[in-house]
Amino acid sequence: MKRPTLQIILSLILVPAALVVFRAAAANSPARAITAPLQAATVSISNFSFQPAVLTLKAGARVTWTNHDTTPHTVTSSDKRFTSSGGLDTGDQYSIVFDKPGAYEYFCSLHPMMVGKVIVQPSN
Amino acid sequence: MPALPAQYTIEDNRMKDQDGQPETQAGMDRRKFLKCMAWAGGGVLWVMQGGVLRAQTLSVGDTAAAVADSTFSFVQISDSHIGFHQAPNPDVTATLREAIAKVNALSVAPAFVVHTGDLTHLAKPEQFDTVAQVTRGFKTEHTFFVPGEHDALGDNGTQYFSRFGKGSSGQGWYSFDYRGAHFIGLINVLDFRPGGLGRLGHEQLEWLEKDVKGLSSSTPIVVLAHMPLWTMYEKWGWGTEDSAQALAYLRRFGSVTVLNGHIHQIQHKVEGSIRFYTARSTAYPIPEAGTVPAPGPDASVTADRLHSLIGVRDVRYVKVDSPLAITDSALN
Ligand SMILES: [Cu+2]
Repeated sequence: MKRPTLQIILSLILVPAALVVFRAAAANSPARAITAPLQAATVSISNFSFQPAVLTLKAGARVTWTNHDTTPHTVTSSDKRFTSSGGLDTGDQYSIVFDKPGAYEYFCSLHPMMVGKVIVQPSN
Repeated sequence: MPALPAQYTIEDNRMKDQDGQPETQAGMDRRKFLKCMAWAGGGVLWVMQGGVLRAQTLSVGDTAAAVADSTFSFVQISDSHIGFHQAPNPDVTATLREAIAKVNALSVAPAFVVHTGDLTHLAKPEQFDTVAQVTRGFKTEHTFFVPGEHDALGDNGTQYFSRFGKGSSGQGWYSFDYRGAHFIGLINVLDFRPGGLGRLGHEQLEWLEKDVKGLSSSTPIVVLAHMPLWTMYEKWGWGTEDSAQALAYLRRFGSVTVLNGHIHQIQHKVEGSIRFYTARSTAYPIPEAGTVPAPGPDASVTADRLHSLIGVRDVRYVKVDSPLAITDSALN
């Protein structure tokens, strides 16, 4: 009795999630769009915030941050688990490939109230 | 920090309880009046009179009279952001030069200049080169710096300290005495923690406690730091998370003046005997807290208005207990 309900709920969650994955992947690597998990994501730095602030993707994915503010910012791992970007001036980009699953918290070392997180899930 | 001439460290010059103005007179003065706070060309002229620090416009004609009546004066500039080249100021080097020209034009030369941080925009070697070269244009012999977070970008301040922090103690903080007043340069822009504000840190706080321990409570104290030492607007990071401890060490002094930069606008607060002032930038204004989504440069400022926002500001004969009466007049 409970199982069908659960399936409906799961499909409600999974269908939109799959669409998001498809769109993001399609934009970056059309050849692998249909079967590959999320391979690349972008984070916009604007108005002193990381957008989106929380990003979930599969191991091996690349995240690229772009600073759209006229003030420099950094992408700095909160626990030194990845290399800091250093100062990103207007228009500068920084990319990191996340190979290992885990939750990677980061912040801007100039404006520490700016925080973000990348959640990396196992690729299988 | 450059090596100091002997006059900066003469202990005997420090104001003692019975020295100078009668304490009651000075105390009354401190409590009742902030005589003159002023701003011109991105700089403030600070005048020490009877142990009370006052600010004075750089371009108004009566400056010379006020300075003649004072113990000494100095100038504050801040946030020159050399390397910034966007709206509303594509040439921040030119406006820094203008500020320096204003200071040099004073009829009575200030004793020294203080720069309260963000010398550069991105802490690049060539940006520090420009700061060093342009600030050599001050006729005044000494310029004291404290770093802003932009100066510590990428290397936690290593490059800044090797060039502008020589002779300082610890991680770059310092103090010196000048004709009875005790000046303290603090650093609150290193080792930021995620989600946090500016930080002084345990080591610096311990140093500060020791630094002021032997001083008479009547010694005028002037504190320089880049980020505000009071929480002005936490959402924008305008504050220092452990400043309360620093202020606790300073509360016993009859006159404490805290000069900050960082927010590119004049704000003022009085807390007992402690007066806080934030300075304008020589480069660009930032809107008031909370009026826009983020604390970035105010790009909406047109070229003809820029100089009015890094221009002249007078604040005169204001009772400390009431809001400041501020008069702005444009440079051009
Ligand atoms: Cu930032």
